[in-house]
Amino acid sequence: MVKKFFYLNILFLIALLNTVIAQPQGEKLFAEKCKACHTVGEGRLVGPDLSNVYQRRNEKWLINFIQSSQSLINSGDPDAVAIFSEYNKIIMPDQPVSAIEIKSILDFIAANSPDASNPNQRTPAQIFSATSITQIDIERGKALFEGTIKLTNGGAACISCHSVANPAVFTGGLLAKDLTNSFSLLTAAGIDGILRNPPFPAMNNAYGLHQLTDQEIKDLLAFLDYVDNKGVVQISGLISESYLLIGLLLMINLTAGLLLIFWNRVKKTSVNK
Amino acid sequence: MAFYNNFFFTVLPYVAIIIFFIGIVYRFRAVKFSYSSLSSQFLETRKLYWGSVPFHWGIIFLFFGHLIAFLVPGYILLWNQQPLRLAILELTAFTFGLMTFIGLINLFYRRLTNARVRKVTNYVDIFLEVILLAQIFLGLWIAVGYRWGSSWFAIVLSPYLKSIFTLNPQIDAVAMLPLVIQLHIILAFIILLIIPFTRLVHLLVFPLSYLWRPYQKVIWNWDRKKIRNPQTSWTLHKPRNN
Repeated sequence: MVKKFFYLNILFLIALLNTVIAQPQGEKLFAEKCKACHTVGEGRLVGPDLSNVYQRRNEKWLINFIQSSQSLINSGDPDAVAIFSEYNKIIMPDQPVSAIEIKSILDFIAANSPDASNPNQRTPAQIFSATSITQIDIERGKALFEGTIKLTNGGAACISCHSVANPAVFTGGLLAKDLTNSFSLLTAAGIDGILRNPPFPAMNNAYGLHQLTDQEIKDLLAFLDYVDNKGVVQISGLISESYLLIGLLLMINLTAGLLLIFWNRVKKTSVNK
Repeated sequence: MAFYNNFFFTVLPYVAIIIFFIGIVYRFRAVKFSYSSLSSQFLETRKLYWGSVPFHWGIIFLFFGHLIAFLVPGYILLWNQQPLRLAILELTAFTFGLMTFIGLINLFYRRLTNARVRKVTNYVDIFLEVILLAQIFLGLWIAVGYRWGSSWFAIVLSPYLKSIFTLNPQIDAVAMLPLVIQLHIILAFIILLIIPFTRLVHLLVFPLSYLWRPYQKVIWNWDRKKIRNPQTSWTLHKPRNN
C-alpha cells in the first residue's frame, strides 16, 4: 500500500513536472516555429488555424507532417495532399524539431484550443503569453503598479498595499503580500482570476466597483512575470532612496521650522525690560 | 472571533458615538465651568512649551489628515499617484506623528514631575495620557510596519467608516486587518467615548484665536514710569498697580 502510494506520487510528480516544463517550451517553440503562419483559435493565416488539430489528425501523422510535409504529400497521403491543395499549394518548410518537441507544441495547442462546450472560457495563452510581451507592456504594468498611470476605472494603485523586491520599482506598501514571486506561486491564470474577482475583502473594496480592464490586467501580468522571472528586458526605474532622502530633509526642516516659529513668539523676558 | 469583530467594529463605534453625544451635552449642562483644557500654564510654563506646542501642532495635523482621508479618499489616492508625492505625504505625516509623540511624552513627564502641576492632576488625566501615548505609538508603528497607510486608509478604512455612519456596517475588510491596526481603530473609538469625561472636551470649545494670539497679554492701565520703585518709600499715595 505504501509502495503503491509512493509510486503514484512519483508518477504524479513526473506528470506535474512534465506539464510545468513542457508548457513553456511548447509555447516558446510555437512562437518560434509556427506562429508566423498559424494561430490557435484566431483564424487561418498562411496555414490553417491549429485549434483542436489533435482531434482531427493522430499524433503520428502530425509529427510526420510537421517534420517533413513534402515527404508526406509526395507519398500520396490523401489528408496531406488535400491540405496542400486547400492552402494554395504553398509548401510548409521542413521543421528541424524532434518528436518530443512536437509533442510539447501539441500540448500547448491542446491547452489553448477553444473549448466548444464552453466558448466563454479563456485559454491560458489568451490570459497571458510570455512570448508576446514587450518592454512597453512591462513598463506600462510597472506604471500601473506604482500608480503613475491611473487605472481606467479609478481603482487604487497596487503599491498602496503591495510591494515587489526590485530596485527599479518604488518601495511598496506592507499591508498585503509581497508580490515578487506571485507569478510563479499563483500562475497567470490565478492572478488574472484574483484581479477580476478579488476574494479578499480589502481588495474587493478597492476593485469591486472599479474593475480593471483586460489591457490593464495583461500589463500587470507582464510586469509581475518580469519581477518574478527577471527577464532579459531592463526596465527603467526611479531611485527610491533619493525620494526618501528628500522626504527626510523635508521632515527635519518642517519640525525645526515649526518649533522655531513658535519659540520666537514665546515670551522669554520680563515685560518690564 | 466573529463575536469580537462584531463587538469591537460594530457595537463599540455606536456605543462610543452615542455616549460621546450624550456626554458632551450632559457635561455642558451640569459642569459648564470645567468645559476647558484646565490649563496649568500659570503653574509651569517653560516645560509646557516643549510639550504643548509639538503635541498640539502634531495632533491637529494628524486629526485633519485622518479626517480628509475619510471624507475625500479619492483625492488622497490622486495625490499619491506620484511616488514622490506619496513619500512626501507619508514622511510629513510621520514627522507630525513623532512630534505628537515626543510632545506628549514631555507633557506627561512635566505632569508627573512638577509638584504644582501634580497637585492639579487626577487619575483620569493619567489614564488619558497613557491611552493617547498608546494610540500615537500604535499609529507610528502602523506607519512604519504597514506603510503607505495614507493609500490603504482610503481603500479599507474610509469605506468602513462610511458604512458606520450610513448605519450599514461592513466589517469584512477591517476584520482581516493586522492586530496593530485593529487596536488603533478600537482605541480611537475608546478615545471618542471618553472625551466627555476628560479634559479632551476642550477640543470642542477651543477658542480659534488661540492660534494667533500672544500667549499672555499684559496691559498697563497707566504710565509705567510713574510706578514706584519698591526700594523707595511711599511718597503720597499708595500706587494702585504696585
